[in-house]
Amino acid sequence: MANSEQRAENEKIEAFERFENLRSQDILNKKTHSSKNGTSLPLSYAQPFSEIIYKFLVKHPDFYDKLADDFGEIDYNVASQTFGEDKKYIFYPILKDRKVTSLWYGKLNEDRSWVDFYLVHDASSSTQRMIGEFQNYYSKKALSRGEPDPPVKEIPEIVITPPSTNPPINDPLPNTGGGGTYTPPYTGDMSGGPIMHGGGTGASTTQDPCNKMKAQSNNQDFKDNVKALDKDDVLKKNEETGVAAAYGPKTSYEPLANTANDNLKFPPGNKYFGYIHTHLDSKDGVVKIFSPADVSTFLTSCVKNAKDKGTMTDAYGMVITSQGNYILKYSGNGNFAITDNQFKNWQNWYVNEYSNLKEDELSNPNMIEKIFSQFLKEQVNISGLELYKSDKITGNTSKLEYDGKDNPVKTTPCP
Amino acid sequence: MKNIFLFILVISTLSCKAQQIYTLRPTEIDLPENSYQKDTNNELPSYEGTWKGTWNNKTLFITFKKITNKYDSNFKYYKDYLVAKFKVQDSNGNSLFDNMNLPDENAKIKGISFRRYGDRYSLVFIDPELCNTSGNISISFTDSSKTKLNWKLTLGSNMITTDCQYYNTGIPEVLPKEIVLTKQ
Repeated sequence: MANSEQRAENEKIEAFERFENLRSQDILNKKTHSSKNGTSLPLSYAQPFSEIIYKFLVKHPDFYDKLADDFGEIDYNVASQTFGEDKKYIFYPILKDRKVTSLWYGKLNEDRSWVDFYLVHDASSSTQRMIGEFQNYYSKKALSRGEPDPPVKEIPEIVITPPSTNPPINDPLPNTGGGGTYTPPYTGDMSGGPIMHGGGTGASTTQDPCNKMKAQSNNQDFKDNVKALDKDDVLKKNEETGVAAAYGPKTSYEPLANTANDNLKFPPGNKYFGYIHTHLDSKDGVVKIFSPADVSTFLTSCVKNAKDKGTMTDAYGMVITSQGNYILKYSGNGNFAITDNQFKNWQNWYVNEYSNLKEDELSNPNMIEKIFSQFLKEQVNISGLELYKSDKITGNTSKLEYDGKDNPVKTTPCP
Repeated sequence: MKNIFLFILVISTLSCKAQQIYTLRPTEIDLPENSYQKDTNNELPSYEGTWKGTWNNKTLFITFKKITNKYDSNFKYYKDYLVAKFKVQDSNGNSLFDNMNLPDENAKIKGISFRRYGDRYSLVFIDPELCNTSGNISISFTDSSKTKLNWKLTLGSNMITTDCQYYNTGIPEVLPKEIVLTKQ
Protein backbone atom coordinates (compact mmCIF):
# COMPACT_ATOMS: atom_id res chain seq x y z
CA MET A 1 0.00 0.00 0.00
CA ALA A 2 2.73 2.43 0.95
CA ASN A 3 4.57 1.74 -2.28
CA SER A 4 1.47 2.23 -4.33
CA GLU A 5 0.65 5.48 -2.62
CA GLN A 6 4.19 6.65 -3.12
CA ARG A 7 3.95 5.90 -6.80
CA ALA A 8 0.57 7.56 -6.93
CA GLU A 9 2.16 10.77 -5.79
CA ASN A 10 4.47 10.69 -8.75
CA GLU A 11 2.41 9.31 -11.56
CA LYS A 12 -0.42 10.96 -13.37
CA ILE A 13 -3.69 9.28 -14.06
CA GLU A 14 -3.37 7.97 -17.55
CA ALA A 15 -6.77 9.07 -18.78
CA PHE A 16 -6.19 12.69 -17.80
CA GLU A 17 -2.60 12.74 -19.01
CA ARG A 18 -3.66 11.38 -22.39
CA PHE A 19 -6.54 13.83 -22.57
CA GLU A 20 -4.48 16.87 -21.64
CA ASN A 21 -1.74 15.96 -24.10
CA LEU A 22 -4.32 15.68 -26.84
CA ARG A 23 -6.01 18.85 -25.74
CA SER A 24 -2.78 20.85 -25.71
CA GLN A 25 -2.01 19.61 -29.22
CA ASP A 26 -5.48 20.62 -30.34
CA ILE A 27 -5.09 24.03 -28.83
CA LEU A 28 -1.76 24.41 -30.59
CA ASN A 29 -3.34 23.28 -33.83
CA LYS A 30 -6.44 25.39 -33.14
CA LYS A 31 -8.56 22.29 -33.67
CA THR A 32 -12.06 21.84 -32.41
CA HIS A 33 -14.42 18.91 -32.48
CA SER A 34 -17.72 19.19 -34.24
CA SER A 35 -20.89 18.47 -32.41
CA LYS A 36 -23.86 16.87 -34.03
CA ASN A 37 -25.46 20.22 -34.70
CA GLY A 38 -22.36 21.52 -36.33
CA THR A 39 -21.09 23.79 -33.57
CA SER A 40 -17.50 23.59 -32.44
CA LEU A 41 -16.58 22.08 -29.11
CA PRO A 42 -13.24 21.89 -27.34
CA LEU A 43 -12.23 18.52 -25.98
CA SER A 44 -14.04 18.16 -22.68
CA TYR A 45 -12.72 16.98 -19.32
CA ALA A 46 -15.93 15.04 -19.09
CA GLN A 47 -14.32 12.37 -21.26
CA PRO A 48 -11.52 11.32 -18.91
CA PHE A 49 -13.75 11.89 -15.90
CA SER A 50 -16.40 9.56 -17.29
CA GLU A 51 -13.73 6.97 -18.08
CA ILE A 52 -12.55 7.03 -14.49
CA ILE A 53 -16.06 6.97 -13.07
CA TYR A 54 -16.93 4.02 -15.26
CA LYS A 55 -13.85 2.08 -14.09
CA PHE A 56 -14.67 2.94 -10.50
CA LEU A 57 -18.17 1.54 -10.76
CA VAL A 58 -17.12 -1.57 -12.64
CA LYS A 59 -14.61 -2.33 -9.91
CA HIS A 60 -17.18 -1.78 -7.19
CA PRO A 61 -20.42 -3.44 -8.17
CA ASP A 62 -21.60 -3.35 -4.57
CA PHE A 63 -21.51 0.40 -4.55
CA TYR A 64 -22.91 0.55 -8.07
CA ASP A 65 -25.91 -1.57 -7.01
CA LYS A 66 -26.59 0.60 -4.01
CA LEU A 67 -26.27 3.77 -6.02
CA ALA A 68 -28.68 2.40 -8.60
CA ASP A 69 -31.16 1.32 -5.96
CA ASP A 70 -31.08 4.53 -4.00
CA PHE A 71 -30.52 7.22 -6.60
CA GLY A 72 -30.39 5.78 -10.09
CA GLU A 73 -27.82 5.66 -12.86
CA ILE A 74 -25.12 8.17 -13.68
CA ASP A 75 -25.52 9.51 -17.19
CA TYR A 76 -21.97 9.56 -18.52
CA ASN A 77 -23.20 11.19 -21.69
CA VAL A 78 -24.11 14.44 -20.02
CA ALA A 79 -21.93 16.59 -17.79
CA SER A 80 -21.57 20.09 -16.51
CA GLN A 81 -18.90 22.44 -17.71
CA THR A 82 -15.56 21.90 -16.04
CA PHE A 83 -14.71 24.21 -13.15
CA GLY A 84 -11.30 25.21 -11.88
CA GLU A 85 -7.95 26.20 -13.26
CA ASP A 86 -5.42 23.78 -11.78
CA LYS A 87 -7.80 21.46 -10.00
CA LYS A 88 -10.73 20.39 -12.13
CA TYR A 89 -14.30 19.83 -10.97
CA ILE A 90 -17.27 18.45 -12.78
CA PHE A 91 -20.86 17.33 -12.13
CA TYR A 92 -22.77 14.48 -13.74
CA PRO A 93 -26.51 13.93 -13.39
CA ILE A 94 -27.90 10.78 -11.80
CA LEU A 95 -31.29 9.73 -13.08
CA LYS A 96 -33.98 7.46 -11.81
CA ASP A 97 -37.18 7.01 -13.81
CA ARG A 98 -35.99 9.80 -16.12
CA LYS A 99 -35.75 12.27 -13.27
CA VAL A 100 -32.50 13.77 -12.03
CA THR A 101 -32.30 12.73 -8.40
CA SER A 102 -28.78 13.75 -7.50
CA LEU A 103 -25.36 14.65 -8.82
CA TRP A 104 -22.09 12.83 -9.15
CA TYR A 105 -19.25 15.19 -8.38
CA GLY A 106 -15.68 14.54 -9.47
CA LYS A 107 -12.59 16.42 -8.38
CA LEU A 108 -9.20 16.03 -10.03
CA ASN A 109 -6.20 17.21 -8.05
CA GLU A 110 -3.56 19.60 -9.31
CA ASP A 111 -0.92 17.05 -10.23
CA ARG A 112 -3.46 14.78 -11.93
CA SER A 113 -2.72 11.84 -9.67
CA TRP A 114 -5.98 11.63 -7.78
CA VAL A 115 -9.71 11.87 -8.30
CA ASP A 116 -12.21 12.18 -5.50
CA PHE A 117 -15.85 11.29 -6.05
CA TYR A 118 -18.87 12.43 -4.10
CA LEU A 119 -22.55 11.85 -4.40
CA VAL A 120 -24.42 15.11 -3.83
CA HIS A 121 -28.06 14.89 -2.90
CA ASP A 122 -28.66 17.46 -0.22
CA ALA A 123 -31.63 19.78 -0.12
CA SER A 124 -29.64 22.99 -0.39
CA SER A 125 -30.84 25.53 -2.92
CA SER A 126 -27.59 25.37 -4.87
CA THR A 127 -27.75 21.59 -5.25
CA GLN A 128 -31.42 21.69 -6.13
CA ARG A 129 -30.75 24.42 -8.69
CA MET A 130 -28.04 22.34 -10.38
CA ILE A 131 -30.35 19.33 -10.40
CA GLY A 132 -33.02 21.53 -11.97
CA GLU A 133 -30.65 22.73 -14.67
CA PHE A 134 -29.81 19.17 -15.64
CA GLN A 135 -33.49 18.28 -15.56
CA ASN A 136 -34.22 21.15 -17.95
CA TYR A 137 -31.76 19.68 -20.40
CA TYR A 138 -33.59 16.35 -20.38
CA SER A 139 -36.98 18.03 -20.64
CA LYS A 140 -35.89 20.00 -23.71
CA LYS A 141 -34.32 16.90 -25.20
CA ALA A 142 -37.58 15.01 -24.80
CA LEU A 143 -39.38 17.75 -26.71
CA SER A 144 -37.06 17.52 -29.71
CA ARG A 145 -38.70 15.07 -32.08
CA GLY A 146 -37.40 12.63 -34.61
CA GLU A 147 -33.74 13.42 -34.18
CA PRO A 148 -31.72 10.21 -33.87
CA ASP A 149 -28.68 10.02 -31.67
CA PRO A 150 -25.43 10.31 -33.58
CA PRO A 151 -23.38 7.10 -33.98
CA VAL A 152 -20.50 8.58 -31.97
CA LYS A 153 -21.53 10.82 -29.17
CA GLU A 154 -19.63 13.65 -27.70
CA ILE A 155 -20.62 14.58 -24.19
CA PRO A 156 -22.99 17.52 -24.12
CA GLU A 157 -21.81 20.15 -21.72
CA ILE A 158 -24.67 21.48 -19.63
CA VAL A 159 -23.79 24.88 -18.34
CA ILE A 160 -24.91 24.93 -14.75
CA THR A 161 -24.71 27.59 -12.12
CA PRO A 162 -22.12 26.60 -9.56
CA PRO A 163 -23.08 26.72 -5.88
CA SER A 164 -23.09 30.27 -4.56
CA THR A 165 -21.74 29.18 -1.21
CA ASN A 166 -18.80 26.86 -0.82
CA PRO A 167 -18.45 26.49 -4.57
CA PRO A 168 -16.46 23.46 -5.63
CA ILE A 169 -13.89 25.63 -7.31
CA ASN A 170 -12.99 27.03 -3.87
CA ASP A 171 -13.82 24.10 -1.70
CA PRO A 172 -13.47 20.63 -3.09
CA LEU A 173 -15.81 19.14 -0.53
CA PRO A 174 -19.43 19.85 -1.30
CA ASN A 175 -21.53 20.36 1.77
CA THR A 176 -20.33 17.45 3.83
CA GLY A 177 -21.86 18.77 6.99
CA GLY A 178 -25.54 18.65 6.30
CA GLY A 179 -25.98 14.97 5.91
CA GLY A 180 -26.91 15.41 2.32
CA THR A 181 -23.65 14.29 0.84
CA TYR A 182 -23.15 10.62 0.46
CA THR A 183 -19.56 9.54 0.42
CA PRO A 184 -18.95 6.29 -1.40
CA PRO A 185 -18.30 3.56 1.11
CA TYR A 186 -16.16 1.36 -1.08
CA THR A 187 -13.29 3.65 -1.79
CA GLY A 188 -11.17 2.50 1.08
CA ASP A 189 -9.23 0.00 -0.94
CA MET A 190 -8.94 2.32 -3.86
CA SER A 191 -7.06 5.20 -2.36
CA GLY A 192 -4.15 6.04 -4.52
CA GLY A 193 -3.37 6.53 -8.10
CA PRO A 194 -2.96 4.91 -11.43
CA ILE A 195 -0.94 1.90 -10.41
CA MET A 196 -3.55 0.58 -8.08
CA HIS A 197 -6.61 1.41 -10.04
CA GLY A 198 -5.73 1.63 -13.67
CA GLY A 199 -6.66 5.23 -13.83
CA GLY A 200 -6.88 6.32 -10.29
CA THR A 201 -9.96 6.85 -8.27
CA GLY A 202 -10.77 7.09 -4.66
CA ALA A 203 -11.58 9.53 -1.95
CA SER A 204 -9.00 10.08 0.73
CA THR A 205 -11.65 11.65 2.92
CA THR A 206 -13.46 8.34 3.07
CA GLN A 207 -10.64 6.90 5.14
CA ASP A 208 -12.02 8.93 8.02
CA PRO A 209 -13.87 6.58 10.40
CA CYS A 210 -16.84 8.94 10.61
CA ASN A 211 -17.27 8.98 6.85
CA LYS A 212 -16.88 5.23 6.70
CA MET A 213 -19.55 4.71 9.32
CA LYS A 214 -21.83 7.27 7.73
CA ALA A 215 -21.66 5.40 4.45
CA GLN A 216 -22.16 2.13 6.28
CA SER A 217 -25.19 3.37 8.15
CA ASN A 218 -26.74 4.26 4.79
CA ASN A 219 -26.17 0.78 3.44
CA GLN A 220 -29.39 -1.19 3.46
CA ASP A 221 -27.74 -4.58 4.04
CA PHE A 222 -25.85 -3.24 7.03
CA LYS A 223 -28.98 -1.62 8.42
CA ASP A 224 -30.94 -4.83 7.93
CA ASN A 225 -28.34 -6.84 9.84
CA VAL A 226 -28.25 -4.38 12.71
CA LYS A 227 -32.03 -4.28 12.82
CA ALA A 228 -32.23 -8.08 12.89
CA LEU A 229 -29.98 -8.20 15.95
CA ASP A 230 -31.30 -5.17 17.81
CA LYS A 231 -34.50 -6.82 18.99
CA ASP A 232 -35.78 -7.77 22.41
CA ASP A 233 -36.21 -11.43 21.54
CA VAL A 234 -32.66 -11.64 20.15
CA LEU A 235 -31.17 -9.89 23.16
CA LYS A 236 -33.08 -12.23 25.47
CA LYS A 237 -31.74 -15.40 23.86
CA ASN A 238 -29.53 -17.71 25.85
CA GLU A 239 -26.73 -17.37 23.34
CA GLU A 240 -25.20 -14.39 21.65
CA THR A 241 -26.02 -13.86 17.98
CA GLY A 242 -23.93 -12.18 15.35
CA VAL A 243 -22.65 -11.90 11.81
CA ALA A 244 -19.27 -11.39 10.18
CA ALA A 245 -18.93 -9.00 7.25
CA ALA A 246 -16.96 -10.38 4.32
CA TYR A 247 -15.33 -8.77 1.32
CA GLY A 248 -16.67 -9.78 -2.04
CA PRO A 249 -18.25 -8.33 -5.14
CA LYS A 250 -20.88 -7.35 -2.64
CA THR A 251 -20.33 -7.29 1.12
CA SER A 252 -21.87 -10.42 2.57
CA TYR A 253 -22.90 -11.05 6.16
CA GLU A 254 -22.37 -14.56 7.48
CA PRO A 255 -23.79 -15.80 10.79
CA LEU A 256 -21.31 -16.33 13.61
CA ALA A 257 -21.47 -19.86 14.96
CA ASN A 258 -21.89 -20.52 18.67
CA THR A 259 -19.90 -23.01 20.66
CA ALA A 260 -20.75 -24.45 24.03
CA ASN A 261 -19.88 -22.17 26.93
CA ASP A 262 -21.21 -18.91 25.52
CA ASN A 263 -18.61 -18.37 22.83
CA LEU A 264 -19.06 -16.94 19.37
CA LYS A 265 -16.71 -18.16 16.66
CA PHE A 266 -15.13 -15.61 14.36
CA PRO A 267 -14.89 -17.44 11.02
CA PRO A 268 -11.56 -18.55 9.55
CA GLY A 269 -10.15 -16.95 6.41
CA ASN A 270 -9.02 -13.45 5.61
CA LYS A 271 -12.11 -12.06 3.93
CA TYR A 272 -13.86 -11.01 7.12
CA PHE A 273 -13.33 -7.36 8.00
CA GLY A 274 -16.13 -6.74 10.48
CA TYR A 275 -18.51 -8.25 12.96
CA ILE A 276 -21.78 -7.33 14.58
CA HIS A 277 -22.96 -9.26 17.62
CA THR A 278 -25.13 -9.01 20.67
CA HIS A 279 -24.41 -8.85 24.38
CA LEU A 280 -27.36 -10.34 26.13
CA ASP A 281 -30.02 -9.20 28.57
CA SER A 282 -30.76 -12.75 29.58
CA LYS A 283 -27.83 -13.20 31.95
CA ASP A 284 -26.73 -11.46 35.12
CA GLY A 285 -23.61 -9.40 35.10
CA VAL A 286 -23.26 -9.07 31.34
CA VAL A 287 -21.22 -6.02 30.42
CA LYS A 288 -23.13 -4.15 27.74
CA ILE A 289 -20.14 -3.14 25.66
CA PHE A 290 -17.19 -4.90 24.01
CA SER A 291 -15.32 -7.58 25.92
CA PRO A 292 -11.51 -7.77 25.84
CA ALA A 293 -11.90 -10.70 23.43
CA ASP A 294 -14.06 -8.53 21.17
CA VAL A 295 -11.33 -5.88 21.13
CA SER A 296 -8.65 -8.46 20.45
CA THR A 297 -10.63 -10.13 17.65
CA PHE A 298 -11.33 -6.77 16.08
CA LEU A 299 -7.63 -5.90 16.01
CA THR A 300 -6.11 -9.26 15.21
CA SER A 301 -8.74 -10.47 12.76
CA CYS A 302 -10.85 -7.63 11.35
CA VAL A 303 -8.09 -5.03 11.07
CA LYS A 304 -5.56 -7.59 9.93
CA ASN A 305 -7.89 -8.98 7.26
CA ALA A 306 -8.83 -5.50 6.11
CA LYS A 307 -5.15 -4.66 5.83
CA ASP A 308 -4.66 -7.72 3.61
CA LYS A 309 -7.77 -7.40 1.50
CA GLY A 310 -8.74 -3.75 1.61
CA THR A 311 -7.74 -0.97 3.94
CA MET A 312 -7.63 -1.02 7.70
CA THR A 313 -10.27 1.67 8.00
CA ASP A 314 -12.77 -0.75 6.48
CA ALA A 315 -12.56 -2.85 9.64
CA TYR A 316 -15.19 -2.54 12.30
CA GLY A 317 -16.51 -4.33 15.33
CA MET A 318 -20.02 -3.63 16.50
CA VAL A 319 -21.80 -4.76 19.61
CA ILE A 320 -25.57 -4.51 20.01
CA THR A 321 -26.91 -4.20 23.53
CA SER A 322 -30.11 -3.00 25.13
CA GLN A 323 -28.14 -0.14 26.67
CA GLY A 324 -26.52 1.07 23.47
CA ASN A 325 -24.83 0.04 20.26
CA TYR A 326 -21.10 0.57 19.97
CA ILE A 327 -18.57 0.44 17.14
CA LEU A 328 -14.81 -0.02 17.18
CA LYS A 329 -12.79 1.51 14.36
CA TYR A 330 -9.08 1.67 13.68
CA SER A 331 -7.25 4.50 11.95
CA GLY A 332 -3.66 3.72 12.98
CA ASN A 333 -0.71 2.47 10.99
CA GLY A 334 -1.16 -1.20 11.80
CA ASN A 335 1.92 -1.43 13.97
CA PHE A 336 0.44 -3.11 16.99
CA ALA A 337 0.86 -6.47 18.66
CA ILE A 338 -0.95 -8.04 21.56
CA THR A 339 1.08 -10.39 23.71
CA ASP A 340 -0.48 -13.09 25.88
CA ASN A 341 0.61 -11.21 28.96
CA GLN A 342 -0.90 -7.96 27.74
CA PHE A 343 -4.18 -9.66 27.02
CA LYS A 344 -4.19 -11.24 30.45
CA ASN A 345 -3.67 -7.81 31.98
CA TRP A 346 -6.52 -6.43 29.88
CA GLN A 347 -8.83 -9.15 31.13
CA ASN A 348 -7.74 -8.77 34.71
CA TRP A 349 -8.35 -5.02 34.69
CA TYR A 350 -11.62 -5.29 32.78
CA VAL A 351 -13.20 -8.07 34.83
CA ASN A 352 -12.09 -6.46 38.09
CA GLU A 353 -13.51 -3.08 37.19
CA TYR A 354 -16.84 -4.34 35.93
CA SER A 355 -17.20 -6.98 38.65
CA ASN A 356 -16.83 -4.18 41.14
CA LEU A 357 -19.90 -2.38 39.86
CA LYS A 358 -23.20 -2.72 41.68
CA GLU A 359 -26.21 -3.88 39.68
CA ASP A 360 -27.57 -0.37 39.18
CA GLU A 361 -24.15 0.87 38.10
CA LEU A 362 -23.83 -2.01 35.64
CA SER A 363 -27.09 -0.96 34.01
CA ASN A 364 -25.95 2.63 33.64
CA PRO A 365 -24.51 3.09 30.12
CA ASN A 366 -22.58 6.17 31.22
CA MET A 367 -20.62 4.11 33.72
CA ILE A 368 -20.11 1.27 31.27
CA GLU A 369 -18.80 3.68 28.66
CA LYS A 370 -16.55 5.47 31.11
CA ILE A 371 -14.86 2.30 32.30
CA PHE A 372 -14.53 0.94 28.79
CA SER A 373 -13.09 4.16 27.37
CA GLN A 374 -10.64 4.17 30.27
CA PHE A 375 -9.84 0.55 29.46
CA LEU A 376 -9.06 1.45 25.85
CA LYS A 377 -6.96 4.45 26.80
CA GLU A 378 -5.00 3.12 29.73
CA GLN A 379 -4.88 -0.63 29.30
CA VAL A 380 -5.16 -1.34 25.57
CA ASN A 381 -3.46 1.92 24.59
CA ILE A 382 -3.22 1.22 20.85
CA SER A 383 -2.97 4.36 18.79
CA GLY A 384 -5.78 4.68 16.27
CA LEU A 385 -8.20 2.39 18.08
CA GLU A 386 -11.41 4.37 18.50
CA LEU A 387 -14.75 3.82 20.20
CA TYR A 388 -18.02 5.12 18.79
CA LYS A 389 -21.60 4.96 19.93
CA SER A 390 -24.21 4.40 17.26
CA ASP A 391 -27.65 5.91 17.75
CA LYS A 392 -30.19 3.10 17.74
CA ILE A 393 -32.69 5.06 15.66
CA THR A 394 -30.68 7.21 13.29
CA GLY A 395 -27.45 5.20 13.10
CA ASN A 396 -25.54 8.46 13.66
CA THR A 397 -22.26 7.92 15.43
CA SER A 398 -20.39 9.79 18.15
CA LYS A 399 -16.82 9.23 19.21
CA LEU A 400 -16.38 8.40 22.89
CA GLU A 401 -13.11 9.22 24.65
CA TYR A 402 -12.00 8.88 28.25
CA ASP A 403 -11.44 12.29 29.79
CA GLY A 404 -10.15 11.51 33.25
CA LYS A 405 -11.86 9.99 36.24
CA ASP A 406 -13.46 13.27 37.33
CA ASN A 407 -15.04 14.04 33.97
CA PRO A 408 -17.75 12.36 31.94
CA VAL A 409 -16.77 10.61 28.75
CA LYS A 410 -15.98 13.11 26.02
CA THR A 411 -18.56 12.70 23.27
CA THR A 412 -17.89 14.07 19.80
CA PRO A 413 -20.66 13.57 17.23
CA CYS A 414 -19.49 12.64 13.76
CA PRO A 415 -20.18 15.45 11.29
CA MET B 1 9.84 29.98 65.29
CA LYS B 2 11.73 28.38 62.45
CA ASN B 3 11.66 25.03 64.26
CA ILE B 4 7.94 25.27 64.90
CA PHE B 5 7.33 25.95 61.22
CA LEU B 6 9.46 22.97 60.25
CA PHE B 7 7.59 20.76 62.74
CA ILE B 8 4.23 21.79 61.27
CA LEU B 9 5.53 21.10 57.79
CA VAL B 10 6.71 17.62 58.78
CA ILE B 11 3.36 16.83 60.42
CA SER B 12 1.51 18.05 57.35
CA THR B 13 3.64 15.91 55.07
CA LEU B 14 3.13 12.86 57.24
CA SER B 15 -0.62 13.35 57.35
CA CYS B 16 -0.74 13.70 53.56
CA LYS B 17 1.02 10.39 53.18
CA ALA B 18 -1.16 8.48 55.64
CA GLN B 19 -2.64 5.42 53.95
CA GLN B 20 -6.39 5.57 53.38
CA ILE B 21 -8.13 2.39 54.49
CA TYR B 22 -11.35 1.14 52.95
CA THR B 23 -13.55 -1.81 53.78
CA LEU B 24 -14.31 -4.59 51.29
CA ARG B 25 -17.60 -2.76 50.65
CA PRO B 26 -16.31 0.67 49.60
CA THR B 27 -18.81 3.18 48.29
CA GLU B 28 -16.24 4.53 45.84
CA ILE B 29 -15.32 2.81 42.59
CA ASP B 30 -11.95 4.44 42.08
CA LEU B 31 -9.83 4.00 45.15
CA PRO B 32 -6.82 6.31 45.51
CA GLU B 33 -3.34 5.06 44.86
CA ASN B 34 -1.66 3.25 47.75
CA SER B 35 -4.90 2.95 49.69
CA TYR B 36 -5.70 -0.30 51.47
CA GLN B 37 -8.88 -2.29 50.94
CA LYS B 38 -8.92 -4.13 54.22
CA ASP B 39 -10.99 -7.03 55.49
CA THR B 40 -11.97 -4.89 58.45
CA ASN B 41 -14.74 -7.28 59.58
CA ASN B 42 -12.45 -10.30 59.23
CA GLU B 43 -14.95 -12.03 56.95
CA LEU B 44 -12.60 -13.74 54.51
CA PRO B 45 -11.16 -16.43 56.83
CA SER B 46 -14.59 -18.11 56.96
CA TYR B 47 -14.20 -18.98 53.28
CA GLU B 48 -10.74 -20.45 53.67
CA GLY B 49 -10.31 -24.19 53.25
CA THR B 50 -11.41 -26.80 50.72
CA TRP B 51 -14.93 -27.04 49.37
CA LYS B 52 -16.51 -29.75 47.25
CA GLY B 53 -19.41 -29.94 44.84
CA THR B 54 -20.71 -32.14 42.03
CA TRP B 55 -22.28 -31.18 38.74
CA ASN B 56 -22.70 -32.90 35.36
CA ASN B 57 -20.94 -36.04 36.62
CA LYS B 58 -17.92 -33.96 37.56
CA THR B 59 -16.61 -33.15 41.00
CA LEU B 60 -15.06 -29.84 41.91
CA PHE B 61 -12.58 -29.45 44.74
CA ILE B 62 -11.73 -25.83 45.36
CA THR B 63 -9.51 -24.30 48.02
CA PHE B 64 -9.80 -20.68 49.12
CA LYS B 65 -6.97 -18.86 50.82
CA LYS B 66 -6.84 -15.34 52.22
CA ILE B 67 -4.06 -13.05 51.05
CA THR B 68 -3.41 -10.04 53.27
CA ASN B 69 -2.29 -6.52 52.42
CA LYS B 70 -1.00 -7.39 48.96
CA TYR B 71 -0.11 -4.58 46.56
CA ASP B 72 -1.86 -4.74 43.20
CA SER B 73 0.44 -3.06 40.70
CA ASN B 74 -2.31 -2.84 38.09
CA PHE B 75 -4.70 -0.89 40.29
CA LYS B 76 -2.01 0.61 42.49
CA TYR B 77 -3.57 -0.19 45.84
CA TYR B 78 -3.25 -2.76 48.59
CA LYS B 79 -5.96 -5.21 49.41
CA ASP B 80 -7.01 -8.29 51.35
CA TYR B 81 -8.53 -10.90 49.07
CA LEU B 82 -9.11 -14.58 48.45
CA VAL B 83 -7.37 -16.71 45.87
CA ALA B 84 -8.81 -20.04 44.80
CA LYS B 85 -7.26 -23.08 43.18
CA PHE B 86 -9.22 -26.07 42.03
CA LYS B 87 -9.24 -29.52 40.56
CA VAL B 88 -12.03 -31.23 38.66
CA GLN B 89 -12.47 -34.99 38.39
CA ASP B 90 -14.80 -37.10 36.29
CA SER B 91 -17.14 -39.67 37.81
CA ASN B 92 -14.33 -42.23 37.85
CA GLY B 93 -12.00 -39.99 39.77
CA ASN B 94 -9.86 -39.14 36.76
CA SER B 95 -8.40 -35.67 36.80
CA LEU B 96 -9.86 -33.32 34.19
CA PHE B 97 -8.34 -30.06 35.39
CA ASP B 98 -5.95 -29.41 38.22
CA ASN B 99 -4.30 -26.12 39.12
CA MET B 100 -3.90 -26.74 42.83
CA ASN B 101 -0.13 -26.37 42.56
CA LEU B 102 -0.10 -22.96 40.95
CA PRO B 103 1.59 -20.24 42.99
CA ASP B 104 -0.88 -17.85 44.62
CA GLU B 105 0.02 -14.99 42.31
CA ASN B 106 -0.88 -17.13 39.28
CA ALA B 107 -4.14 -18.49 40.65
CA LYS B 108 -6.90 -18.49 38.07
CA ILE B 109 -9.44 -17.22 40.58
CA LYS B 110 -8.76 -14.04 42.54
CA GLY B 111 -11.08 -12.15 44.84
CA ILE B 112 -12.29 -8.59 44.42
CA SER B 113 -14.65 -7.45 47.17
CA PHE B 114 -18.20 -7.49 48.47
CA ARG B 115 -18.91 -4.22 46.72
CA ARG B 116 -21.22 -5.51 43.98
CA TYR B 117 -23.68 -7.55 46.01
CA GLY B 118 -23.03 -6.60 49.61
CA ASP B 119 -23.61 -10.12 50.92
CA ARG B 120 -21.77 -12.03 48.22
CA TYR B 121 -18.06 -11.96 47.63
CA SER B 122 -16.96 -11.39 43.99
CA LEU B 123 -14.01 -13.06 42.37
CA VAL B 124 -12.48 -12.95 38.90
CA PHE B 125 -11.88 -16.12 36.92
CA ILE B 126 -9.42 -16.00 34.01
CA ASP B 127 -8.10 -19.16 32.40
CA PRO B 128 -5.42 -18.60 29.73
CA GLU B 129 -5.33 -22.34 29.04
CA LEU B 130 -8.97 -22.26 27.96
CA CYS B 131 -8.62 -19.55 25.32
CA ASN B 132 -8.76 -16.86 27.97
CA THR B 133 -12.16 -17.82 29.23
CA SER B 134 -13.08 -15.29 31.87
CA GLY B 135 -15.93 -14.53 34.17
CA ASN B 136 -17.19 -13.27 37.46
CA ILE B 137 -17.80 -15.60 40.40
CA SER B 138 -19.86 -14.72 43.43
CA ILE B 139 -19.99 -16.79 46.61
CA SER B 140 -22.09 -16.58 49.73
CA PHE B 141 -22.87 -18.83 52.68
CA THR B 142 -26.26 -20.47 52.55
CA ASP B 143 -26.72 -20.24 56.33
CA SER B 144 -25.07 -19.13 59.53
CA SER B 145 -23.22 -22.43 59.97
CA LYS B 146 -21.01 -21.38 57.04
CA THR B 147 -20.54 -24.96 55.92
CA LYS B 148 -22.30 -24.60 52.59
CA LEU B 149 -21.38 -22.12 49.95
CA ASN B 150 -23.55 -20.90 47.11
CA TRP B 151 -21.45 -20.48 43.97
CA LYS B 152 -22.45 -18.54 40.83
CA LEU B 153 -20.28 -18.12 37.76
CA THR B 154 -21.10 -15.67 34.97
CA LEU B 155 -18.82 -16.13 32.01
CA GLY B 156 -17.89 -13.08 30.00
CA SER B 157 -18.48 -12.72 26.29
CA ASN B 158 -15.61 -14.45 24.57
CA MET B 159 -15.37 -14.40 20.80
CA ILE B 160 -12.84 -17.00 19.74
CA THR B 161 -10.77 -17.33 16.61
CA THR B 162 -8.95 -20.24 15.02
CA ASP B 163 -6.05 -19.44 17.35
CA CYS B 164 -8.08 -21.11 20.08
CA GLN B 165 -7.24 -24.80 20.33
CA TYR B 166 -10.89 -25.48 21.18
CA TYR B 167 -12.19 -23.64 18.13
CA ASN B 168 -13.71 -26.76 16.57
CA THR B 169 -14.63 -28.69 19.69
CA GLY B 170 -15.86 -25.91 21.96
CA ILE B 171 -14.22 -24.82 25.18
CA PRO B 172 -14.83 -27.41 27.89
CA GLU B 173 -16.89 -26.45 30.91
CA VAL B 174 -14.27 -26.32 33.61
CA LEU B 175 -16.40 -24.81 36.39
CA PRO B 176 -20.10 -25.01 37.23
CA LYS B 177 -22.37 -22.05 36.56
CA GLU B 178 -24.29 -22.51 39.81
CA ILE B 179 -23.72 -25.00 42.60
CA VAL B 180 -23.74 -25.41 46.35
CA LEU B 181 -20.33 -26.37 47.71
CA THR B 182 -19.79 -28.23 50.96
CA LYS B 183 -16.95 -27.50 53.36
CA GLN B 184 -14.50 -30.39 53.62
